[in-house]
Amino acid sequence: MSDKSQISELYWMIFNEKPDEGMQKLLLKIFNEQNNSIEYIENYLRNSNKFKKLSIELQTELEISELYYTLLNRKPDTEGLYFFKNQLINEKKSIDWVKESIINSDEYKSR
Amino acid sequence: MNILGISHLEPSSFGHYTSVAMLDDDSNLFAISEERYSRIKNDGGYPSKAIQICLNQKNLRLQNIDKIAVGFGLEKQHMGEKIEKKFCSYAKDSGFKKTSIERKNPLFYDHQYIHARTGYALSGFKKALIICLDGGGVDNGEPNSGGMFLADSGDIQPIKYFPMYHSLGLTYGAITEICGFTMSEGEGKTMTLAPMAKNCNEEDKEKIYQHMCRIFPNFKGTNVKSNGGVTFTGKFLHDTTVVSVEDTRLLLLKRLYHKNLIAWATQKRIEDILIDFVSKAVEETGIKNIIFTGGIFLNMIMNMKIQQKFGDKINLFFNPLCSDHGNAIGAALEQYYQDTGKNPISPYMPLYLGSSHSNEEVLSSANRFNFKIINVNKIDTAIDLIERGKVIGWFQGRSEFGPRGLGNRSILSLATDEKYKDTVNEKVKKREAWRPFCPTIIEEKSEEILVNSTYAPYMILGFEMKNPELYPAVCHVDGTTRPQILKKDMNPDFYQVVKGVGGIVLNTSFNLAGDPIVETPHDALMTLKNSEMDAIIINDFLVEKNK
Repeated sequence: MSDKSQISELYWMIFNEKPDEGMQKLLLKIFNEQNNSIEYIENYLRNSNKFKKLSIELQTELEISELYYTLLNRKPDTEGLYFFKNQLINEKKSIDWVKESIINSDEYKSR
Repeated sequence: MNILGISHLEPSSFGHYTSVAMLDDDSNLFAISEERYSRIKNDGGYPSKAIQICLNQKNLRLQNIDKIAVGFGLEKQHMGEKIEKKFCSYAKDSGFKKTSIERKNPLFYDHQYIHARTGYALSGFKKALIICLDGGGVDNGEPNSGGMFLADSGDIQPIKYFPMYHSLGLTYGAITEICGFTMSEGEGKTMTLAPMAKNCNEEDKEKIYQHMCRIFPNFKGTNVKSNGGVTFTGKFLHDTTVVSVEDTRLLLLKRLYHKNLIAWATQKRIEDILIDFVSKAVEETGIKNIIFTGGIFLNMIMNMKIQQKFGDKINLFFNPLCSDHGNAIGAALEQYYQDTGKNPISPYMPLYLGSSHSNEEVLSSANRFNFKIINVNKIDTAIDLIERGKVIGWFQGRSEFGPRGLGNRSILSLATDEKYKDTVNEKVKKREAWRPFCPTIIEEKSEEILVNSTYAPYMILGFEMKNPELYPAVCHVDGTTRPQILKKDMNPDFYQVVKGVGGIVLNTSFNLAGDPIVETPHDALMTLKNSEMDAIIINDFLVEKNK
């Protein structure tokens, strides 16, 4: 695998998108300066502001997903995930509120 | 009575470690995995080559085999389809006459039960609790992910089977994929990656561990009770989903955390689950002997934690044939027990159960390569080369059965300098630089080197090292090592070599990354050709590349 595709793959794995041309060039430069260390690039990306912002969303999705698996024994559907994520991040609801909502759902009661 | 034991899961896409064992009238055991001759790592196909090699050992034909036993149970829903016939017709496709195996009416023994038989036979215990955990199998016609058994005076009785949705093996395997390795092959890499998170942020560690507690099957609901004999009651408290690589939680963890942290939390979680589980079993049953078997127990660091926690109170045996390849031997042992009421193998037997090759074969193979080959005193030569800092292949006698090179198909070098670890990883085995190597330590030296040393001849049990800085080539970043502790009578020639270089040597299986361990002189010579190994010693010959 070429250096460029290795970096792109890593970027995609973390951000779920391709790096733009400027970012690609920057990462390749850092990669070469750091003895071709993909570990260094990963740490660089995980310490970025972009990742810090993203990780709040991912952490929220993870907590919601865990409740779905534990209470409903399935992965969350897109609508449910979006709805609860919005409630937690924008409406400042608590994770306990999400749990209560799921427990009060018809799906949970019918299990 | 000639018994052929087979471990082969067919028809299925989950086939792996296909292996065959032959047990004859005189209790001679020969065993080999198909991968050793097909040269496909973890080969799960029909064992046509392995069966033929077994038969060749005593110049037998399939018609001379009295009984065939298979170490995989059959699911009820498939019994109506006569899986046996599919099994047999598949044999036909592989060059065997359909009726040869079919006429033998192969017996399909339950999977976890055969794991239990293998561990029990090797342990030497008379009465023992057997804890069996793996990815999955079939017993009593139903799929499961492990079981508990009570063994006494030869008989093994099941106590409890664990459902598939509590599969620790599949959960660990799915996370192995998330870490970028391959399930059923890369679990050892996940285990050795875990200590690489030692400098990670403690807050992140705590967070990801809590996530793992929710993802892993929760054994806290188990309740082990003694009731005359032993019963096992209680429900598991967890969801009923088998964790897979598509699990949303795992995919999110992969984006959120570095793989070192994921591996660390996974390893810690499985260790904690097992400690909790064994604690209950010990407290409630009062049993003094426990056998651990099933593929989960290839995890040497988890085994070390169990040994550290319980080793001074009870007798523990970690089955070196715990993964599915061992079920070929287990099936043959079960058949032998059914027929005679006896166990034909001795406790802690050596695992040199494969083929050996004559000097004539070595010379004939060497003729096909442009190598320098000379007759030498193999022990003195090996000691001299290792002491001079060379990395050598050591090929002697019968091959080891299973995934470890235990001194007959091994790559050896000094253990006292980290550069040997780097050389063997990068130039010889061609694998990831962070991966550690195991040592072989002669028994007399083990107490000096290891914390709480106990006899461990199979590289199935980890230890902390007393002075890790003295042996950096065989010590992982967390100060642990996974040794073969060698008694002289287990392998006298190899013992002399290890003793000659100070009682400890780096010993890794004789193969390149992605290849099965070498079986024949030709395989060994090919490995020399394709690596930067300095030399190999095959039987009485030193083989080197022409400069």
